[in-house]
Amino acid sequence: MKKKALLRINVLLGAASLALAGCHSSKPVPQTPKDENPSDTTNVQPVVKPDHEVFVKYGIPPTFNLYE
Amino acid sequence: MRLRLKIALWLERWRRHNLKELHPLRQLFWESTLRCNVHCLHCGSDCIASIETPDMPEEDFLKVIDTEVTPHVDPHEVMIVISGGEPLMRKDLAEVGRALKQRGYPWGMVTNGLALTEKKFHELLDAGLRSITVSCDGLEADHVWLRQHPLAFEGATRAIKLIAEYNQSIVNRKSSNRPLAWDVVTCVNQRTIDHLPAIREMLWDLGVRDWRVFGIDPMGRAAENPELILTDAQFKQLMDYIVSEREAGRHVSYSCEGYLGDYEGRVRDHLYQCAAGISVASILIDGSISACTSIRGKYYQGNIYKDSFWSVWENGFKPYRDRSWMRQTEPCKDCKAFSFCEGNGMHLRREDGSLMLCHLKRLQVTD
Repeated sequence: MKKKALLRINVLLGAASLALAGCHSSKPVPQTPKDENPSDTTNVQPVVKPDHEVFVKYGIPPTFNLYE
Repeated sequence: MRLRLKIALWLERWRRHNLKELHPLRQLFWESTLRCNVHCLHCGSDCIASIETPDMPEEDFLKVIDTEVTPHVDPHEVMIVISGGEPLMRKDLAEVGRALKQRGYPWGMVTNGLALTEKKFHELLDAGLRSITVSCDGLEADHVWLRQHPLAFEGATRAIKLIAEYNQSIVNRKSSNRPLAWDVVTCVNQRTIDHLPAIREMLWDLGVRDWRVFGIDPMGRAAENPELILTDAQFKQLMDYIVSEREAGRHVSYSCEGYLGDYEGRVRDHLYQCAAGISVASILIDGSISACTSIRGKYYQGNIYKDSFWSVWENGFKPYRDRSWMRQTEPCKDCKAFSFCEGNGMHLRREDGSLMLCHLKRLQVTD
């Protein structure tokens, strides 16, 4: 229960801090469908917003939701 | 500092505090090989680990996934990053990818592109590749110099074209397939800092629309080559360049590392945070459990060959989740920005706990 509440609070905090700081991405936000068949990941987009997590030279590809 | 930004940073601090308590595993690096087909001047490797170190067997990694990770997470929400060395040096990369796909994990990688043939690219797509980053460090001469391989530029640009054309074909065909999430990363150094507009134009001509740039930190081979490391003035020049590109509507970003003071909110899509050990973990080539792969050995939290990965993730990582110890070191001791920065990135901490580089200080010096 507490975990869910924290997650919800964090979504709000993330949205508010981004808006206040004027952060924006020109990129579209992909969907994250959950397949009926969990073994079929053809259409699964790794969580939310590309380009959010970026650990470069050692290598994070552009797929990570920092603001859940 | 703008009042709005200050409030945003306080909210972000609150969010980060919650996130530490939750520490949801969202990104798992696998240092699958130390082998590489180029010899970059700026390689983050400390060269202690020999390139003759054998690759970690696929089954060792998948055993951790099956017994330690999958029972505790929704695989769709954990991104596996296959890292190296150069991941394409592994002959079984597609096989590993397919195994992860079957288990429901999205996976991605960063590559220099040299070994990414069209056949290999489609093999990886079929194996569930969801995300890819290509390294391109400048115009041809500078890229070849940094990568120390005559075909490095040709390889990188070929890979970029392949990916751009693939994504464009999906759009053109209105295919139900999702385009690949991808971008290009560039290590900016003293040779390339003044060429950024030309590099940007070249990349945009190749079809790139997402470009991440960063400086090089004084670690690994780069520590021995001061030409690679931007001066404070050049670092500020880089920040101003990114701001100008973003104001022009182009998606150019600075990497995740480093708290940037007044530049927060202006050069990235997010505010600074170091997610190492909070939502990012890694399994290194020798089985060590860490966060980002470049973090020093002192901060390793266990080893998959003798510890339970999940138990380490749940109960370890204390120096990552409580960073107050960093406040004991210079230049953090009396820094008013510590609440927002929390000692900068974990990968910038030396074995003795001292900080290699303070991004904020660099920007303040040039003000």
